[in-house]
Amino acid sequence: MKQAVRTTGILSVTVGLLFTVLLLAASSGSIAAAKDFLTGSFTSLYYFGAILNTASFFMAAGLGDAILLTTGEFNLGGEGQIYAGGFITAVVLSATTTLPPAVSLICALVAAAAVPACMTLISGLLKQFKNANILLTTFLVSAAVIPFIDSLIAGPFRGPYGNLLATPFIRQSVRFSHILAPSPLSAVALTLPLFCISGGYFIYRTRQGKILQITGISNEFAEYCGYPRTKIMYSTLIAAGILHGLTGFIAVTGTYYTCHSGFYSGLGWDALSCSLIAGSNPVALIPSCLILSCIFTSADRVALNYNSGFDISALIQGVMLFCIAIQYAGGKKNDRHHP
Amino acid sequence: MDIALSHVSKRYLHKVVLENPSVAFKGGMIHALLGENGAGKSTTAAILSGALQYDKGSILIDGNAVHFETPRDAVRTGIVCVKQRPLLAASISVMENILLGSEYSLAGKKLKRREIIQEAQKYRQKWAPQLDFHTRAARIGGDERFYTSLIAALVCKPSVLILDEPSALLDWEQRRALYANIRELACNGMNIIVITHIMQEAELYTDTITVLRKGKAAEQYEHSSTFTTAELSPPKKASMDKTAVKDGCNKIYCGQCVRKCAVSFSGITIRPKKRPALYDVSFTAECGIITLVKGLQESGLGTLEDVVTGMENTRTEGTLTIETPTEHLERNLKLKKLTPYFLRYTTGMHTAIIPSDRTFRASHPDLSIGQFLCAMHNGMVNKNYSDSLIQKAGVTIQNEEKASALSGGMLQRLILVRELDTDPQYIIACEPLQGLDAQSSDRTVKLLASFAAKGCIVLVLSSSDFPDELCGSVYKLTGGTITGGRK
Repeated sequence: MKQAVRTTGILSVTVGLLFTVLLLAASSGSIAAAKDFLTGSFTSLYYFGAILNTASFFMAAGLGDAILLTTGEFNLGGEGQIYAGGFITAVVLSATTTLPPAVSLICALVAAAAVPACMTLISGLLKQFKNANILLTTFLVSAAVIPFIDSLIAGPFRGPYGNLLATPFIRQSVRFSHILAPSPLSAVALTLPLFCISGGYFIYRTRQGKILQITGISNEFAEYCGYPRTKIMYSTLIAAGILHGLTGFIAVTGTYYTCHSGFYSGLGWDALSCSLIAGSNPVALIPSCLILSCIFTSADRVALNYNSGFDISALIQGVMLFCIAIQYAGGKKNDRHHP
Repeated sequence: MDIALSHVSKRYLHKVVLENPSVAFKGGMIHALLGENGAGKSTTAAILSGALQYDKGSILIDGNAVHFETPRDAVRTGIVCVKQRPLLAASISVMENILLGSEYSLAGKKLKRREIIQEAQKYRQKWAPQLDFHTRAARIGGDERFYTSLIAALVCKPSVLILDEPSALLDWEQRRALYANIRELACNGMNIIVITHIMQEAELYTDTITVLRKGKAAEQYEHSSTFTTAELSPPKKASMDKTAVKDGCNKIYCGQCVRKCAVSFSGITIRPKKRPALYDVSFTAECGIITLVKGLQESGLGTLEDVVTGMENTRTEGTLTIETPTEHLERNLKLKKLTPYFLRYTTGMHTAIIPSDRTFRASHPDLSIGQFLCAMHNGMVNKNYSDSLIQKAGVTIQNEEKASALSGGMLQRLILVRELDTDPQYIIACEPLQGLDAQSSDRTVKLLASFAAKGCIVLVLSSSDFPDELCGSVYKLTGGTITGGRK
């Protein structure tokens, strides 16, 4: 299975890369775009920082997905959870300007963790009492929350910036500074690999991690072993919600300094892709996030420089998810052992 | 259709399963394939049905060498295998499971959906009238899983039908009916190969017997009557002191008090939608003796198993009372569900649970051996601990391999060792002899008796095979109600 996961990741990334190069070469009519895609981001400090910054978002959200995936569940509501986390961060930071910055940040962090955790908690309750599929309910809750937040940003929480659909900018004292100017990379982003390593330690080196892995392989066996399945479901769902909320918090306090409408776009799905490519291994999440972030950032750079359209990132994402799905199904099929 | 294996070898990373045996099975007969656990019977079936590639040798059909890349190739040639642990898609109905992969019949002729359904209905009427085609596969019991898989095999109209341990999930009545039906198929020219541990069954119902010994050599008896059970590593009669088991609690857990430890279920009433109901079932399992509940699946034994092991999700009425020297626990099952967590940890009895479904409840094919053995062990997957259990069970397997690499008998042995290693005070063993060869069965009976003699509460649920004479209490479950008690 580990071999299958490795193959899945490598093949998906390779196909994604090839597809992107071919698409860029075809859409721009020149090889230069494809060449720029492969090397351009590393020649610019801005794009290099952007790669690391985006990778940090993927790592935070991807870690939440990885924990849930380990128990055999899918969280498709990552986008709404990130958006909710970011929005509540911006709102709390705007509302607590009279408090000291550290207190204000702690309040925002707690709120950013709590709101998405409540969203995933709804999925948990629906699963426990109505046997509703977590994959579906996380998606549906997120789908309901996104337009609600959109309307709040467009309405009562909108900042005074003319056409910009965003909350007011957070004050200077609660912003994490950018460390690789002019890139959006913030200092807090560099802590995310540590989260992933801790996550890896938890899953592969602790008894609780073993229980999560076994639950992910077989629910019935887990119940038979006497594992507290309901607790496991709620705790992993809440962890996923918290980590997605943390992504929103980092995005607002470290990158955008406001919550603008739709800042989450693509983040949830990309993080899920990273998690699937990493085979839900938190440590493997670090390279997978870096590679995917590099691909998406470079694709955006080329789209901007060669006028090839920003939809290219969505196309790459689609191709990669497709490869993951095909490989995953194939891996399951080939993962048969002798009787 | 005649089928033969010629000098076939199969080697895995750490062991040789088949080493050069040659076996032949003539058409129009029922052949028994016997051997101890791990002798290579299931591997032989897997090779014949295209589910497994062999390293050396050849498969001969009517004298011509053939090669199967996949089970589909074998089905197209007319060879179908009904596995010991039929794998069904849990979220779809029985009928949909039958339709899955049934599109090819003999010689690759495609069957239409309507034809398959008609054929399936026909076979159901004859083989398993109780089987509901519309039930989701997740809700059916072991015997129904077997019949589903068997009907799916039969609609392909095979020339060679391989049944891997067909009796394992069936009671005596069902076995008799099964053999009567397969005799009819054999009379119509079908070549039927039955893998079994039960020698009496082989002698009674089959025409020839082939014995595999550790995958190394094969002996064939042209007439089953010439085969005697002594030919195959004779089972030793249980040699433990029966009176000690029947009458005596050695008071390891009971201190000075005679029969103070007991588990009582009283007034258990449950009406599951798709499974047999239980009505006011009451029984007591005491320490120092083996308590046997005998019954058939259709009498509610499966439902009772789910109740006593804490795996029942339907609302259950009744009370569970646990008496230990230090505690008196009473649980109203209507108010609070009984769970394996309660049995294993809350009661403090380190309850050992050996369910009848070894494959998907007591283990899972995707678990590594380490995970499977250390699941209830404190801390991480511990190689030393799992190696010690593997050694105790006398099984050749590595920690990193998957549970699917285990034969049925090996799996059962490892489950027993894992469960009994926790020094349990209460043992629930459901169909404990299922899938075991004579020697392993004997060992298991002795083991359970020794735990009983040490003062454990041993509750055995069995539809057949388990020796009554070793049990201090015998209950009989009939039509959802229970009778009997202490001898």
